[in-house]
Amino acid sequence: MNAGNAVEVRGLSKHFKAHHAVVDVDFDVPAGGSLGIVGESGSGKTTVARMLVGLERPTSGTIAVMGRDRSAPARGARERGRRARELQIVFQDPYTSLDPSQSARAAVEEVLRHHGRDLSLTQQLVDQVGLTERQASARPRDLSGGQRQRVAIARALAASPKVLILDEAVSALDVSIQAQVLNLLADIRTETGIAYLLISHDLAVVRQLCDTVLVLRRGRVVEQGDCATVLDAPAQEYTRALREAVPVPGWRVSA
Amino acid sequence: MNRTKKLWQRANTTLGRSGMLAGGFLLVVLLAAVLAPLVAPADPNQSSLLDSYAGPSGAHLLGADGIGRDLLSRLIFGARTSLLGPALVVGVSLLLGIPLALLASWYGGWVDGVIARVFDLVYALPGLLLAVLTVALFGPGLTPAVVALSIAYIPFLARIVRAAARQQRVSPYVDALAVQGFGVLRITVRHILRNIVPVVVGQAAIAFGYALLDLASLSYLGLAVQAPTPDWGVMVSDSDALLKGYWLQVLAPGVLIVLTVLALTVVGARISGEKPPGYLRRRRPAGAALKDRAENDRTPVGAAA
Amino acid sequence: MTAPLLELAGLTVDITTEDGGTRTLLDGIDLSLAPGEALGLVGESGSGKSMTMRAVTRLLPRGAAVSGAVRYDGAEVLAMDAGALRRYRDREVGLVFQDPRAHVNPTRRIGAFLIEALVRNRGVGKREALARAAAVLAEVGIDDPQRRLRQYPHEVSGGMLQRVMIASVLLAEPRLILADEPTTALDVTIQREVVGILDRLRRERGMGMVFITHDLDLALAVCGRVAVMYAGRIVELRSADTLHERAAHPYTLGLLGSRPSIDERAQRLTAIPGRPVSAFESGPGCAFAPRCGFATAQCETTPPALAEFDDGLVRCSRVEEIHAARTEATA
Repeated sequence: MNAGNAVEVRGLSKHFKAHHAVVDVDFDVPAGGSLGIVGESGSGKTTVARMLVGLERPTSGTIAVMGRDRSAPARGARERGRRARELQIVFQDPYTSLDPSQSARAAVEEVLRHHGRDLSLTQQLVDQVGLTERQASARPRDLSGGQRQRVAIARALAASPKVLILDEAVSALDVSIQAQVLNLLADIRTETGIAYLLISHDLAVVRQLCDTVLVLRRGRVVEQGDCATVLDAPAQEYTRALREAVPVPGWRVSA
Repeated sequence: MNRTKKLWQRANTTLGRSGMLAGGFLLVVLLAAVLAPLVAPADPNQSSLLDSYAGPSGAHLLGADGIGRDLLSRLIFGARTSLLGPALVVGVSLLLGIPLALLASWYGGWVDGVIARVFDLVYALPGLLLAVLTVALFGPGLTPAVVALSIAYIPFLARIVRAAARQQRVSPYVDALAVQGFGVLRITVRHILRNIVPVVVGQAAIAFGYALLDLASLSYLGLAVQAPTPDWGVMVSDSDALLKGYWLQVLAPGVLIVLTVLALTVVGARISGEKPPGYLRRRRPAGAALKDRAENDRTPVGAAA
Repeated sequence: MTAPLLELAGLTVDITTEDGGTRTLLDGIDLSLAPGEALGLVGESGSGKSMTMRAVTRLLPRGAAVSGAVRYDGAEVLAMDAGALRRYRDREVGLVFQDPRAHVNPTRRIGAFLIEALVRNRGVGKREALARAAAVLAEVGIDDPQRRLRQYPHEVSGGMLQRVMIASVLLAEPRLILADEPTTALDVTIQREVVGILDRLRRERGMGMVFITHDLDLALAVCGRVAVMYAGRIVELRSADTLHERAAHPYTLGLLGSRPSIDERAQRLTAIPGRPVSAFESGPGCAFAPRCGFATAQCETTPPALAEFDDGLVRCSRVEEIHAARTEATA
């Protein structure tokens, strides 16, 4: 075990009956680091995230977060709480990832109370994610997509995790809102030293937020390494194709 | 005052015109039942043979029955027993049904399979038949009838609750709560159940209506509430009155039963979010039109091609 | 100068609300599309880009009031009777949507779906129609079209189904294609193929195309001209080749700055504060003023007009000052 790693994944596989969703995946997220997992639909990237947070059980392989193994389901409330304080997640869809009857404040307070933290932190978290007083007391249905995603981030941070998984967390947002949230996430990382594991199909978003990147295809690792190296000089044909398909300034469909 | 106004507005938007009307009617019935000793003009069991089959008059607003008891007073006191039975039935069914439904929806898989099959089995038994059998075993009375109907009504309530809870269960917010380390009990009760309250209440109201009808039928047959206790079902069964041409005594409780059941059904459907039928609907708000556009506009490529 | 294929003039859409008030969704859209041209409509939620397409085909929600003009090939679409409207929708316009699965009957084979309109509306024989369908499937780059014709929609991938959709549009041989976020649900590699197919077919067949997307860079890659929409209005219209260099409206500039680059990490993205609004939420002046770094008190009260600037159209009263300030800053 390397003490410098917040997350260590070795030989991780997940089979759904005959379908091999994830096959023998290895990666590390350094403490305070930021890893992007990139892949298209069916690459297994979301399954990896769900196994890390314990929503799916790995078929084989090991997962360690903050040096503690979590390959097997948690036993008891204490263990569940401890895992929650190590690793949190923000989901893609801001419309279904919040309890419709809970305001931002109530959601954050519930989590703080659960983890025995000081309730006065609520205000700090609400401010940190840039929600106004009114937004913090509103039900999710009265908030826009970007505001809801801020609530989801505040709720995740309320457990004071060492690692945050962002599962396509900015993909459903409008471009101008996406930029706000990306800036916010960068600020939070600077302030708290939290590590990110960003699951995304969007290479530009990964480049903006991550230090290292891992390319997944059909459940297998295609290549991984430093973000700039992999994206600027891909070693694999697939990574190159992925990169070249992204519309950039000057890119024309008709050659 | 502002609060009351807000509450009124909220009720108005949830229930709609027909729902508000039905709700108002139910409120009147409920108040009459609760305040029976205060609002009833006479003692429901005080007979005076002189007034036997007296028509409506100043002394008896709706007239009197065969042994001269005031009909209006009997209807008002009858509301008590007529509402108490169904309330017990719905209460007990919910108490047993909700935990089973939540259990099934949370764990899914074989747990869900077993519970769902048991529900199907009970659902297949006619509630009235079960009640008649119970009464045959334990003798007539409200208690055996209520116990039997409670069991018979569990699937009626629990199947809907299970479906609604299942929908919540697969929402990412439930996953997020699980990742926060919350236990099953807390997530299901504090979050899932809370979010499906409208469905539960709505379905309970509809079940209440059916239970009222079932218990009235049993009382009519003399299997549940026993004369001389005033009860709408018992009152309808007074065939003597009908033979003597005094139809009001049978008609009044009958109409009350039908109206109450109808009102409960309407209110229940509105609370659980069912849309009123077209002819009752007001002009549709723009928001609704926008939400529905996906349905309106299914003319796309296929039609264009 | 050829006559435009599609022309929108002062197109406005209002919706009647519950309390009897009206809400504006589109406010005075002027656009024209030449035959064979590809025009991009770019905007965020509430910008009205999809509503524009709905108005063009008169597929509007109930309670919507449309004013202004939609002229297709010189004919006023808003005045068409039921028969003319059906012919226009059937033969002249092809629609491609974001989610192809929502627009096919899952219980019918792809072949049956593709030939339905041909057989029913055009009286083409079944055998002939199937042959045409197979040919079109081959044209959109689908291998083994005979096998695909016998498959059900759930048996093929989303990218494949979107190609089937494009094929179904082509069978009607329309002169205008309206594509509403046609690749948003697809992976980037598939997106590239699908927009490539759309582009090639448009050129080969000389069809006009309105391409609606939230992705400015994608629109620039696919279209000749791009209209940026905000709060139910066009705020900037410009040639795709020059938009990156010459973008002048603060909102367009904001969109360009918001998008992270794949080539380098920005120190900080120049995010636009606030959230996008719909036309009815905006004040009397410029709809973008509350989010705009250049806004003055006058911007809040006086609505700017869409005016020519630097070879494009820009709706901003301060565009010249802003342009001057920016040129100075970069010089």
